[in-house]
Amino acid sequence: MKEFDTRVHYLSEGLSTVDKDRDVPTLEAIYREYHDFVWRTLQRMGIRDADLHDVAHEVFLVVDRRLSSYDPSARLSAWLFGIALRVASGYRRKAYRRYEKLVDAPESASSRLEHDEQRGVEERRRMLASLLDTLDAEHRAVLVMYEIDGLSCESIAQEIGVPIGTVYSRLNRARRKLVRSAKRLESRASKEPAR
Amino acid sequence: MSRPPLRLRDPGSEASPLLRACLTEAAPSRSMTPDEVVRLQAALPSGGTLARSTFPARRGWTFAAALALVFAGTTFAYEWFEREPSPAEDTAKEISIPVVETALPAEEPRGASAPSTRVDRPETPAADDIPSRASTTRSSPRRPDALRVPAEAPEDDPLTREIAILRRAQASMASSPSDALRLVQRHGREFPSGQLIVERELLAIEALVRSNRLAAARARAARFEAEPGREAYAPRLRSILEGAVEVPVSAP
Repeated sequence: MKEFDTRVHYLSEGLSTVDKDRDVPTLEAIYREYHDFVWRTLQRMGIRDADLHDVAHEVFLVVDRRLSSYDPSARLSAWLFGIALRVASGYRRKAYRRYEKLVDAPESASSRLEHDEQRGVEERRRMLASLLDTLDAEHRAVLVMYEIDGLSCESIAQEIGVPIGTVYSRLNRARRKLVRSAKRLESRASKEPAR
Repeated sequence: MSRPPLRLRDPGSEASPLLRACLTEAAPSRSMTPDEVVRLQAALPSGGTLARSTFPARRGWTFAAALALVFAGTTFAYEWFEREPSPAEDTAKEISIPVVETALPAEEPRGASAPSTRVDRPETPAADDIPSRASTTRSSPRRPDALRVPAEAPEDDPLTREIAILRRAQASMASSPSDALRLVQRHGREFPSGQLIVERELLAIEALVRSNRLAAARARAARFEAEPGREAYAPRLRSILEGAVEVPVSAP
C-alpha cells in the first residue's frame, strides 16, 4: 500500500517521492543546496563542459529515484558523490566505447610535448587533460580537488565521506600514476626526431 | 602517507617542470552560471518533466481512483496470466482499442549516424502491428536491453506499467534521447488512452529537442498546447523549447 501512496503522491503533486516520516530532504532542497557541488564534482571526474548539463541531469534523476532509500544519518554530499561517480563512470565508459575522446588529444607525443617551457598554454591544458583521463573518475576527482582546486585533505575527506587515510591513499596512487604518465610522455617525445 | 603531500605544482615535488607548469596553469573546477542553474532545475522531475497528470489534485479522489485502477488491473492481469490465449485471440482483443496517438511529424534530414525512426500515423493499426503479450517478441524488432521494460508481474497494474515505461524514457533522456523517444512511442502504442498522456508528450518533445529535431519538437509542442486544458504546462514547455538552442551536440 505504501508503494501506491507513494505513486499517487508522485502523480498528484508532480514531486519526487518522499518519506516524510524519515525526514529525508526533497529533491528540490537537495538541488538548492548541492547543485554546485554536483556540477563541480562531475568536472573533477572528467565530464567535459559540453556534457555537464546532461550528466548532471542524469545524476539528479538517480537522486530522485533513490531518495526513498537515502539514510539521513549519512552525509548527503558523500551520498551524492557516490551517485555522481557511478553516473560519470558510466558516461566515460560509453564515451570510450564510441571511440569518443573525452578531450581533444594531440596527434603525437612530439607535437604535444616539447622540452621548451614556452609552449602554448592551450597545449599544456590539453596535455594535462589527456593525463588526467588516464585516471578513473574517483582518483581523478580526488587529485583535482587537491592539486587544482586546492582543497585540504580534511575537506576532501569530509565532502566525499571517507576517512582521511583513504584520501591520502587515493591521492598518492593518483599522483604516482599522473607523474608516471607524464614522464612516459616526455620520454617518448625526447626520443622522437624533431620535426 | 600520514600527512598531506607537497602539491605537485610546488617546487620540490616529484612532478617534472612541464607537469608543474600544466598544474599551475590549470583552471579550477567552475561553478554553475545562473543560467545553468535555472536550466538544470527546470529539467528536474519536480520541475515538471513527469509533470502533473490529468488526475485532479485532490488526494482523496486520486487515491481512490488509483485503488480502483489497481483492483481492475490486478483482476485483468490475473485473468490474463491464468489462461494462455492464442496469438489470434490476443490480436482480436487488442484491435478493439482505438488508436489516438498523434502522428509524429516527418523526420528532418539528419546525418548518417542518427538512427532512423518510423512515423506513426493515427489509424487503426494492422493486426500484426499491435503489440500483444503473446506477440511482442514475434512482431516487434529485437530491442536493445535499455528499451526493454521488465515483464509485467501479475500484481502490476497498467498505471504502474505506464510509469515504468516513462521513467525509463526519462532516465534515457540524457544519454540517449533516441532511446527515450522510442520508449515514448512504445508508451503511445501500448497506452493510447493511458493516464500519463501529458507526461508522454512532454517527454517526446524533450527527446526531440535533445535529438536536435527542433522543427519536429516545435510542431509537437504546438499540437500539445492546442489541446484544451494544457495552459498550465506552458511554462514547462517553454523551458524545454528554450533549451533547444543550447543542446550540445557531442563531437564525433
